[in-house]
Amino acid sequence: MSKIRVLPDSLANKIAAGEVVERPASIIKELIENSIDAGAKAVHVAVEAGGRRLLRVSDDGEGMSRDDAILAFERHATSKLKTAEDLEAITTLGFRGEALASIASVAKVRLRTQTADDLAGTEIEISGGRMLNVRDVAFARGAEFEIRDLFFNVPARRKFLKSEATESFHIANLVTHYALANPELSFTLTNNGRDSIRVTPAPDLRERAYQLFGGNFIGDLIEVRGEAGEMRVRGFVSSPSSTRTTKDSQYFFINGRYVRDKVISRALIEAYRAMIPAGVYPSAMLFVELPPAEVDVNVHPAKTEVRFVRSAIVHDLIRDSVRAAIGGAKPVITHFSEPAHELVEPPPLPAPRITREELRTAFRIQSPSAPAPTAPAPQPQQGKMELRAVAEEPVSEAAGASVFEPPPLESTSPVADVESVREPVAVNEAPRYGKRLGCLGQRGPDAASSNLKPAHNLTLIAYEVNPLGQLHNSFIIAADRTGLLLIDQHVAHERILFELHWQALRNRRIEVQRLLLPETLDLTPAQAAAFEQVAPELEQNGFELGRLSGRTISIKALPAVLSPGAAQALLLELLDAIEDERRGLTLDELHAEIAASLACRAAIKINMPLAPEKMHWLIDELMKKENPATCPHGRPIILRITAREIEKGFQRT
Amino acid sequence: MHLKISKTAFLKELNLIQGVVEKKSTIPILSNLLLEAKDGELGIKGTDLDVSISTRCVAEIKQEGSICLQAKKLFEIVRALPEAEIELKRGDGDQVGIVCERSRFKMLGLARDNFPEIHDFQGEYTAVPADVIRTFINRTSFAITNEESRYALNGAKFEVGDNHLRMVATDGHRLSFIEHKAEVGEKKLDVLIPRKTLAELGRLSAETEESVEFGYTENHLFFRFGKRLLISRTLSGQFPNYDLVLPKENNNRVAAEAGPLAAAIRRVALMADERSHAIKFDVTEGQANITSQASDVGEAGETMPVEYAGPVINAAFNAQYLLDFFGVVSDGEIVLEFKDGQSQAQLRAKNESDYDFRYIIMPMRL
Repeated sequence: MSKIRVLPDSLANKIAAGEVVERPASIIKELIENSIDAGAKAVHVAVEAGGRRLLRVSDDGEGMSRDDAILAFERHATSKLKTAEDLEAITTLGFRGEALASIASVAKVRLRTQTADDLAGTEIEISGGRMLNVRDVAFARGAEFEIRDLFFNVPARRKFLKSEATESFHIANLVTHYALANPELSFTLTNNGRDSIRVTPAPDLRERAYQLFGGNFIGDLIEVRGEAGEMRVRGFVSSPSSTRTTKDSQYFFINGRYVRDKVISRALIEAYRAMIPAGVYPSAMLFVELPPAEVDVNVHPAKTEVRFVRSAIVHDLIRDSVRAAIGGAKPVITHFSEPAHELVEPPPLPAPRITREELRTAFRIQSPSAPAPTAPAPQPQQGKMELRAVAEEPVSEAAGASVFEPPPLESTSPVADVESVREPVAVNEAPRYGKRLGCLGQRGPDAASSNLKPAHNLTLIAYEVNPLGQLHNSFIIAADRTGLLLIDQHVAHERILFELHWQALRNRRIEVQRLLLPETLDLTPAQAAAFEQVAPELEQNGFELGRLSGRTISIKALPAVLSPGAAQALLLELLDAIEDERRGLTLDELHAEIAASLACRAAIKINMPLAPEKMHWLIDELMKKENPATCPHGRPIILRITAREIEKGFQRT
Repeated sequence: MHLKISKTAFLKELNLIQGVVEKKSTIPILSNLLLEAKDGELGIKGTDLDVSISTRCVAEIKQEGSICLQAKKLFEIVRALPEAEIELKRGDGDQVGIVCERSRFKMLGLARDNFPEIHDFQGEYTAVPADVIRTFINRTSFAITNEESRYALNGAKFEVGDNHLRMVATDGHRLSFIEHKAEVGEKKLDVLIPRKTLAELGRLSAETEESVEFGYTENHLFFRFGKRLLISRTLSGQFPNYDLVLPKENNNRVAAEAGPLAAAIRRVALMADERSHAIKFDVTEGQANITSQASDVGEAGETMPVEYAGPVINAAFNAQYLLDFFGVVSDGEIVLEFKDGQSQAQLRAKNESDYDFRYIIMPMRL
């Protein structure tokens, strides 16, 4: 036994570990890739405590000889590359030669391996990058990595590990990906001793998807096949009528490697454009094959990012193939029967909050360059008046100098054309409530809610706001010290009712309707991994759930406010939501959606004459609300034309 | 095709067949009826491909023939005509002249080849009294789910056994079960009847005092009412095992008059939460206290004298589910049978000898 000295670049390994070993799932990823590259037929993964306590990957691949096994933990040691030219045409999943060294530097690792030619197997133990032991061991052909106490020597990293449920979710998702990409291999995943994935070799992808997700998922999948030159795309997408509320069920693979890629996901969304409503996403499993020279996988150590040499071709191939596949399927109103206008709405922005800078560029708005307490109203374009959404700037001059800020949202549209103020906004909006239950109204900008004034300033205005009359029986024309206000009576009333309903829903006790016969639901491996941890919270929200065998759960009771179908959809959404740790939000959002839809239906409509007292009441109530500037769907409620703008319009300055 | 037919008789058949013809038809021909003049009768057929009705009407046939006419328009015309004999005559092409006393209409029709083939049943029919079918549908159809996504629950289960007939419907929260003892011959049957078929079946069986005959092939059901025939696809899917739901040990029996109890529930339900309709039932010896509470609105309560001597029961129910029961059992004495406040409760009419009707409802947890 040769004694190996502590590597001089152990520190470098630790640093590299930060990139390669992002979380337990990334270790599993590296090890599974090694197994596949080693020609394994069966890959077994075992996890305990979300991977903190134990990660184990074993396979029946070709294994390593003792010398190779020792060398494998050296940095940049790999069997997969020999020359720089090889890097141009990578056909194996791994190649960087960093993974094992990095992993070994931040955990306690035991490797047991044997090749077909060796008489005895090799066992190597490494702790925090120090090789402790190398000895003979009885072992079957293949390799087994056991990783314990991840980040034991990097307490800072250990702290950043997410909850066990989250890490289990990621691991289950990851194994799912590789099982999909390699239907000819068998995979098992054991989580705390419980089988969460067990798939035998399958003849094709459809069969594998059935093994993993069950009949419901596979039922309405549409096969995609396309080719362009040396590029090929194949796989399955969901029909436009069955969609998910998250992108979680979109799986992309390039040359068998799971990737998260914007080019592909954009192409997918484009293929579905105008066929599915905003805020929902198709499920997809797309496998793209292209010559290794056409794609650079060496962008990031984790290798989930890639760069295409000719991304436009890849994009068009995917878009056209998917579009051709779903071409036969008609768009169908989803389960929640959204109103028609939602079908053509653009997809929501990834982040609900838009910075002001983005808003300005997006809407091509002129605004003063620096905020100054006494800044005059910005210079409007020649011959045009400004129509300002009070949304962001409910009090300007009226509130006095101390609260004055430059008006962030301005439009240079002519006064008469009120619609044109909304239009550019509607394109870039982030949808809010009512997404599920629908509303008569069209949604508007959300960004407006980010910059509200304190309420006392508003009550001051409410005092002064004087309704003058109605325009087209739809808009209240009012005046205050600053000028003229136009109030959309429908959305104003809607906002008032929304807050009432929302409060009531949040404060209500949870009523539970029990089911005569429990219903069963098959979870995906990832959902099943998350289930144990989410279950108590779900029960607090009115679900009564039990775990049956494997990945099947039984539903014994549901929240009484929802119909059984809607409750099941919510349940799935809550289970999926674990990934971003955005649980808890969802039920509250749902309440907001219900409230928004109730409010929209109960609110006075446009084309309804109002007595002056009613206009007064509306304005008074509106000003008491937390957010008087926008309706629950994000549309502006009040438009302001300041006296100054009027004067300018008449060229009095 | 040329014939004379009595307005009253023609209108009656047209009226019965309107229900199956699609209002918003995807395939244009489905908004038509097929008229066939043959052997001294006018045959009328309508279908939406899931449910079809085929019927006949005595007529004076001068020339045999057939045509498809727009169902709704034909019905409206015949309804508006005076009570007299109507003459139908197919003219050039697919035009049909309708003449009645001084009124003249011309309708553009379609050739019969366009009309879909309607299944026929060659086997032997089994007879059941019409009022049994009527009662069955009346007692179960309200419990069918309104959620179309729950496919197998979108209809009622109909079973014919050795000496009984049964119908069961559920939406997962409550279940309606009715059984009638009768010798119905050799035939065994176990099918799911879609909701729309049940509605048509109810309408047709209300028109006859005699028996309904039924037949069954692998995918289709046939109900014959004399010259009228209702044909329906069966609903496929797994209906839940209702036997598990029927309570076995609900020994705490509360007896009360249906009318006053229903009225009390209706009053208390006014203050129930608008979405969940939850009301509470607190049963002690000799009385039931029914209460409700809606946050921000108020509360309601009513104490009913009942026949009861068991332990205290506290249960909560969706008031609407209870009222559905009283919609079909509106007078006489009823029994509410509990095991406890968490398990399913059973409602029955106390003195009903012809039928074993049970309504099972799952309590809520507040």
